[in-house]
Amino acid sequence: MLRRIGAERGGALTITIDGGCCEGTAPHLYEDYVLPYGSHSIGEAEGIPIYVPPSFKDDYDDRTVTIDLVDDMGSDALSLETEHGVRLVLRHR
Amino acid sequence: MKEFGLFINGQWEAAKGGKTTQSINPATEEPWATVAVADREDARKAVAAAKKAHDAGVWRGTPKEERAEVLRKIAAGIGERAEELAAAEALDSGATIRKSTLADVPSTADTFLKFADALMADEEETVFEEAAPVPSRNIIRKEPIGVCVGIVPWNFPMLMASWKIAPALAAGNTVVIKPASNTPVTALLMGEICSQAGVPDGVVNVISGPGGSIGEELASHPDVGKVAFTGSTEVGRRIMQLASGTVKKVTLELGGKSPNIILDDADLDTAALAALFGTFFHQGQICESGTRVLVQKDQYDTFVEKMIAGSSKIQLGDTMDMMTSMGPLVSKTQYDTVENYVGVGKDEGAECVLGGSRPEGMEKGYYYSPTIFAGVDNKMRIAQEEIFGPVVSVIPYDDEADAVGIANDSMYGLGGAVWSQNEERALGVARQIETGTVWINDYHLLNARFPFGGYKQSGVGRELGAWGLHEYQEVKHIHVGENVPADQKIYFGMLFN
Repeated sequence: MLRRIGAERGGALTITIDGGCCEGTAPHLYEDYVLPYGSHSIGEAEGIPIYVPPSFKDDYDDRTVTIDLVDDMGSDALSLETEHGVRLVLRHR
Repeated sequence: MKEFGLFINGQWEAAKGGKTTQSINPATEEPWATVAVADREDARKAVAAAKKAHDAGVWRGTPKEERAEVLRKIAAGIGERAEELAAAEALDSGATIRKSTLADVPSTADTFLKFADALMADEEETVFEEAAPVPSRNIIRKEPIGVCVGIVPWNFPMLMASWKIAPALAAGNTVVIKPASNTPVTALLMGEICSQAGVPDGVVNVISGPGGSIGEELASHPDVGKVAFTGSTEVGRRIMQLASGTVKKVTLELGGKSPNIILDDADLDTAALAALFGTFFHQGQICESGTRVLVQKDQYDTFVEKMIAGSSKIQLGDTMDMMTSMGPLVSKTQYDTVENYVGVGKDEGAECVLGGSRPEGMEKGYYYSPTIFAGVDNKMRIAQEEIFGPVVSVIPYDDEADAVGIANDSMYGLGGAVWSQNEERALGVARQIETGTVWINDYHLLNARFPFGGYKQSGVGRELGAWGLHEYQEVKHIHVGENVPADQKIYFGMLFN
């Protein structure tokens, strides 16, 4: 899915892991994203860099993160994979 | 099974791609309605309908007295369908029928009435005479922006839609609403109610569909003049980025971690119930919930005991029963988020003194127990991050200055409260809290006459009242100069010798 979206979209892709009221703490895949000041890189997937906001930094420094893909027709996240009826999710605490 | 299409240009229609989805009742995990799912083409169609109606002047050309009258008719239409709307809201969102009947429906109708008032109180044109550098008459004129998009969340679906529709209509705009995919029904019904009240075709359009496609389309479409979004800070950030491409006006109502400050001279019995109300009403799924309760350290243990005791009066159950005071969370995603954060709180060393799991005996539905964490330090993740569920952190403070410091130590600034039997003292503290709303000796009460919005990362702009109306207007200055020859335009001398 990440490779497919990379082929569909012309801009630079970024994954940011963030939380908030309505979509839970989850990965968000964006094109040409403006990273919040102080965002912290924690790795990459299919060449796409993965960031967390400053407040999450300590939480991801020394643990393994699993990003999975699930069927989801009704997500309101602006994450690019949602257009294909799927959603990136985290598989850990 | 009830069926709902999209509401575009005054009509119900199927989505272009023919896709539908089933809306799930969070109390039973069973589908209760089938709803059309819009795609980008439907979004473009809705924008085109709104733009056509705006350009034709069918709504902005209507005198403001008539627009105000239509808003009042919409309120009446909501009243006439109150039972239907309250039931749909409960089934779609997991709200208790008590909440949807006593809060959602009346507040939604009231929003339209208050904006009718705000419109009538707003001067469309004001005139000022100026003498220098040459005599002029100056007209300050309010105009609508054009096509306004409202993207609204699932916690108060109908009310949040009205907070976008009412001011947009009052100001003479046309509007496209995208409700949350979890809870589209009442917003769709509102499209119909507006039409029945006399709103011309194309002026109010409601399309339900996923955020990633139609949300992105609406936030970046060049014919959209303004985007109003209520939801998470994460998505709000992205909406702002997308809207920047065409320099749209943006208002955002985002997350919160609102401080509920109990001063040492508060009536502790009342304040304890307020602390519960501020954080457990609608299962804690409210942006301005008082999720950090700040208590003076010498009163701390007593206060926590009072909160635990008061929670026994909360009745979880079937949302369609008026005796139920607390329902389920809106979805499995929300349930997982809350469960995850409860785990985080325990890992961080906070003490879970109430709840912290699914209620016993309630295996069906996304129910979560009212949960209280004691011994919370404001630096903990459960004190800094928005959980959006029935989880409250009780934080001890030393003195007033410490309480204010803790209250303001947050990236959010949406709501908050101060409890005290000394009103002047409470006001002194309220003035120091960096939030858009501060309640003194109350919680959750909002009035569509008064501004609501966030400091810091809780949002941009204000909704409701005259402030909310102005966010849906452009302002034009017409300088009427005198029709006199060049030799009387003395400022021409800047260029011509």
